[in-house]
Amino acid sequence: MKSRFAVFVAGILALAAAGGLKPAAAQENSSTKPAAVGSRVRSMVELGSVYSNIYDIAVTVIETVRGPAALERLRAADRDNPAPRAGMEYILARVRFELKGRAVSDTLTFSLGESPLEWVALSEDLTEYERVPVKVPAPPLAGVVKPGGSIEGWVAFAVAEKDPKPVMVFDPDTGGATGRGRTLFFKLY
Amino acid sequence: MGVPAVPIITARFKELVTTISYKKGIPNMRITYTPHPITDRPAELCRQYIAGNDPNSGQPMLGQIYAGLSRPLSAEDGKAGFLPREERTRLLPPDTPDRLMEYFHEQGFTDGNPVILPTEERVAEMLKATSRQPDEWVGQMRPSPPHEAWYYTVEMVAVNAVMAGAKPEYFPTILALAGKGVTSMFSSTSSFARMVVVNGPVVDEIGMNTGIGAMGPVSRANSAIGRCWTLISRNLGGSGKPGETYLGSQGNPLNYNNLCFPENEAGLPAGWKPLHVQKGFKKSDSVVSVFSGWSMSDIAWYSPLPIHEVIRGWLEHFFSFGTTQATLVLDPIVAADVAASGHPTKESFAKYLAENTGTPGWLYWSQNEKALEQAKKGVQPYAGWLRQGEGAVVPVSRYTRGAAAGRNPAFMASKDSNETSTSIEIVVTGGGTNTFWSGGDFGYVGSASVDDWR
Repeated sequence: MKSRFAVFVAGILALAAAGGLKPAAAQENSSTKPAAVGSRVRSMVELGSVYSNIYDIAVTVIETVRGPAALERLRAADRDNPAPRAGMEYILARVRFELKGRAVSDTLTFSLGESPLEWVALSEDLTEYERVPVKVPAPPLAGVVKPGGSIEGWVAFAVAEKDPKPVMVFDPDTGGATGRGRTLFFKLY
Repeated sequence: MGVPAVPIITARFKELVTTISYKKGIPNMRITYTPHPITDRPAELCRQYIAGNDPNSGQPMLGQIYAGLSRPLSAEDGKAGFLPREERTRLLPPDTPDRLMEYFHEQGFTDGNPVILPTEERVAEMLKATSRQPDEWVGQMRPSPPHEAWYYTVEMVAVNAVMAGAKPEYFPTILALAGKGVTSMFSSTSSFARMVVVNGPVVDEIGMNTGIGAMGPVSRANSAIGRCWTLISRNLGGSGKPGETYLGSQGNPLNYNNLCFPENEAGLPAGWKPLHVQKGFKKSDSVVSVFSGWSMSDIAWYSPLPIHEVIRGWLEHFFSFGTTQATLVLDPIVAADVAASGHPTKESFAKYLAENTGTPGWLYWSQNEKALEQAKKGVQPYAGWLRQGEGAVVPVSRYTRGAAAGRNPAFMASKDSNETSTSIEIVVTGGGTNTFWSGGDFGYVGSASVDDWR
């Protein structure tokens, strides 16, 4: 009689996608499970074009400022910053972005803040808010991050005054061929 | 962004485009198709394609484009969102080995050859070879940039290591390779190949073959580690489905084990650094390094010419898809001859080669049409080069950074990896039975520490 084996399924995509395992913090992050303020979310990005390598990243929303206090800080940064549209108010988020290479040979950099689609605010029902053309308080969340380095800075959004639970999205996949990675979600409240 | 767009795709890629647009959350994307192929076809023929019918729909292409751009979006068009993934069980129900093997083949889990069935016991044994947790996230991988990434854990990699026939002691090396997130079966019509070079103490620890037949199928460690990368790429990286996630027109036999071999560090001439030390690691580190290219030639030339000049001549006339980068794999006795001819380091030899190789005229002029126009108008230095004949070697190196000659420089490693003065890499391996060396169009992609995964 032939022996009978129970074997693992080789193509295990479904396990990761369906949450069959709980391998890492970033996999717990989703539109329905946005990270809380102060929570450091680890993830990965691929840097390079055809010849890409994985780099580890961590993103933390350190603090948020909303409403009149946010407008006050924006006006301090630039007196010409406009008031928000009727029914809207500003939210400022101070964010830390960290990049780590996996080997000494990983020397590429990550350019933050070049795409308007990189940091986006969504309503609680995940409708995208329009980007606001304001000058943020210094330092802005922008610049080139080297492996082992980090950038901390402000990013601004305008959200509905009645929205109690706006969410911020970080999408690293906005720079064309480089910086591919998972979209991360953060609470702005 | 609110800007109407209608992609124009060649008809051969309907399945690919349909799949990707679906995965990207635009299942109703308005697409029009031209006849296939369009590469190397005259402009007049391409104009006829545009003026003609979409071969898939039978409708006029221009009409489809106009309609696609001007028709308002329907509710159906606006549907978005990513594909939901069906949940699969982690273990298959018990069955006979023969039936399970057939199932694995049918599902595309193999490379076409038999695999070791990944039983719970075998996978558990594999997992003992690393301190990492089974549910720890190792990396993400995709067939090529348009595709979605798949994410995988230590346990998922262990399953594929078992299937490839790896011993548990190979596992940290396999994890390091998986942690690069580079697919071995890149989805391009050009049939990419990959290469893995292992350096450091792990080579002897796991019994990799650095000697006779190092690049051939005579060592379990060399074979299984290289093979495992392709199984990982298929099963954890989503690569390898012809027409959808693999487009290599002819395919590449190197994908079976991805040219996996260790550098023969004991065979390096004095002053020549091991590859991993060149890339910034310590000699005592164990490291895997990944290369990408298409082809490799095995060469010897018995003549009065010194070997370094034979290599220079080969590099000058070498032609394949990736003509602006090269990797030389030298047997230790070839490396010794090269060093003795006045090249005290790998870097100095690579620099000598880059500075002393030109580009065949047919290749240079066919890729530099503006230079050819200027040459014909008498503009120097182009006119002087052309005066030697269109087939004569042009004194422009293909192997310095930013080289203009050769095809598709965007594919080349020099754009992304550690900047050096040339795009030539040199590795030493082999058993010294003769003065053979190998050369090919491989470029360095990156390296990873094996020790991090022990």
